[in-house]
Amino acid sequence: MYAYAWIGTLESMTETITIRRPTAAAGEDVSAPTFTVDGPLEGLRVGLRTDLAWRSWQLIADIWADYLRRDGAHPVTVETSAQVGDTASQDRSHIEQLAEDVDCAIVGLGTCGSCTSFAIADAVIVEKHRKPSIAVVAEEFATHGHNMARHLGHGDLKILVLPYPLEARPEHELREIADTYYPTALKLLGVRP
Amino acid sequence: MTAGSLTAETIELDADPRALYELSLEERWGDGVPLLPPTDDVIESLLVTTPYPPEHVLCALPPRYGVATVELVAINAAMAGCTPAAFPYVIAALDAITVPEWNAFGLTTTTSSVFPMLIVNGPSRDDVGIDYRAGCMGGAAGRGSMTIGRAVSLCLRNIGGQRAGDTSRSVFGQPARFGMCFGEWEERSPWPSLARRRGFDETDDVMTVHGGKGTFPLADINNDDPRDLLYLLAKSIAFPLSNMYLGHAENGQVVLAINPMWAERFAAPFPDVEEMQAFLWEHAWQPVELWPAPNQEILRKKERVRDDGRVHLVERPDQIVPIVCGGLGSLHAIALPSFGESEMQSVAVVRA
Amino acid sequence: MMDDRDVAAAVDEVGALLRADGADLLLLDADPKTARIRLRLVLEGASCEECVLPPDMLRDVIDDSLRRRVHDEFELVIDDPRRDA
Repeated sequence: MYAYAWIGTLESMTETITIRRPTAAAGEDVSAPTFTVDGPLEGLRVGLRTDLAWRSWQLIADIWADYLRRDGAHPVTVETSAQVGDTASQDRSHIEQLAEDVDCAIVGLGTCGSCTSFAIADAVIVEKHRKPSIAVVAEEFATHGHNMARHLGHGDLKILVLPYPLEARPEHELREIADTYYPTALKLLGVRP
Repeated sequence: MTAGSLTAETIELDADPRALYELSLEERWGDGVPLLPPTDDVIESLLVTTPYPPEHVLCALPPRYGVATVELVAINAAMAGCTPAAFPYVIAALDAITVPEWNAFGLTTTTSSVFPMLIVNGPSRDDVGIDYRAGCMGGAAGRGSMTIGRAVSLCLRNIGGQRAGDTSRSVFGQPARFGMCFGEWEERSPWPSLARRRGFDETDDVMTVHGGKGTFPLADINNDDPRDLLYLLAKSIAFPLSNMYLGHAENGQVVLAINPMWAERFAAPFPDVEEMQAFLWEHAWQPVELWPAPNQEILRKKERVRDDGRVHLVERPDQIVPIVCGGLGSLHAIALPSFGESEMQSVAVVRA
Repeated sequence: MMDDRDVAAAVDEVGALLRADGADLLLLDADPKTARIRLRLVLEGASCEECVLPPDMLRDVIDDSLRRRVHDEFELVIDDPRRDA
């Protein structure tokens, strides 16, 4: 039997006790609106958010930027690098500005726990500006990405899942991944010919 | 206060303590270790120690942004075995954790092992049972230390929804996830306490929360000159796979827990703690050549390499945070390496 | 945390041994907050200084007497005039 420093109302061990549930109620499953391009790519300003941490994604984003230009769109790149401090404040401001300036955005990369959380959060910023937005998350963190989107109230945020891991892959594999998933990214954005 | 003021769902169960334990495992409330029953009388005894009504919302706890009312926090603190005197420290810790610059959003979801490490200052340490002497980071078993840390951990789990393998992507976790709360041995420190250095009065009871990745043990039996020993401590904390090299040098802190005997030795050449921090910073670096070539390129791109080829662990001396604690056996220090993208937060303990 | 009475009892026990040779042991301070115990060996009344326990042995005897009574860690500081000489 446990010892208490104060008198409890614990009854005989053959009877029952009443306790309180320690968990917070689950939030309502409300999802903010999500948006699609629903038109051609040509002429669109497409935001590309990279992160200083992930060189694999920087390469893929560079390749996609070239493809976007090839296909008549105008890529606008923003690189984030911090989660706290002045640099983080600037990063979030840049994302807000990006969301203002572009027609749609591709936000990556989620390939760890906290970076997935922040990639989702930045994709949500774009969606809050009523712009089509997709988050790019590596497979290992896809469920986490969907969870974070839901917890932020944007459960319908579109997430493009790339293979995991991406870092430490040789360049030719990353190029193949870039080629393979570029059409999928456009499809998720709702680009139509 | 009457039971009518509590609103959390009631659950009736067998009075056998094992029944609660089994329920906690089934409902995933717990940390795998038996819990105490959060009955109304116990919860209310905790609530009277704070100035807040039970329905007061303290914060929304990541990762699921569960709403942490004072009542819910008290329920979890009751399960952890907190005494009424300890409960305000739990509240203070959650206040600190949810300061945006602590980055609970990142730290509760990361693959890293980081978890809140609670450091207590102030005149009430002994009254509450905070460990700051031998075994303060494990083994001393002070009631305050063990239950406050655990209460915070249970709140993150049950209110914030942080669960390893699910919302928390932590690859390894660490022992501090059961709860880690220790104090500074202020009376044996030759320098102002951590709380004083962070702007609090010596009469304040203060809770500081550090996002620490684990306890990194450092030992020495050889060095007679305290400056030599400090040099080696600085080199040790600047280990090449430190999180501090992954991001921005200006973010985060590394805590260096120094035992009282070493503190006395260090105070001889460094009666001023800022000068000791400057000395540590001066030596807490590695040459960029230590890293393989691809890493060197990355460090250069991240602007971490100075003109002299040094890669400093942190940008400023104040990011190396010494505290005095531990036993009188000397010979050891402990570093609490940082997640990096998180700023240590300190909050005064508020009582009714 | 250490109790004054336990420390005083240990000091008295060792003091009794020393008084046989005309020396004595004084308790200067026992601070539970710092865990420091400060003692002073008094030799003024000693008929023969060499008869009093040598410094290292005296420390061991005092330490042993304290540890039988004080179960927390402590730092023992002895003001022994023979070390200062």
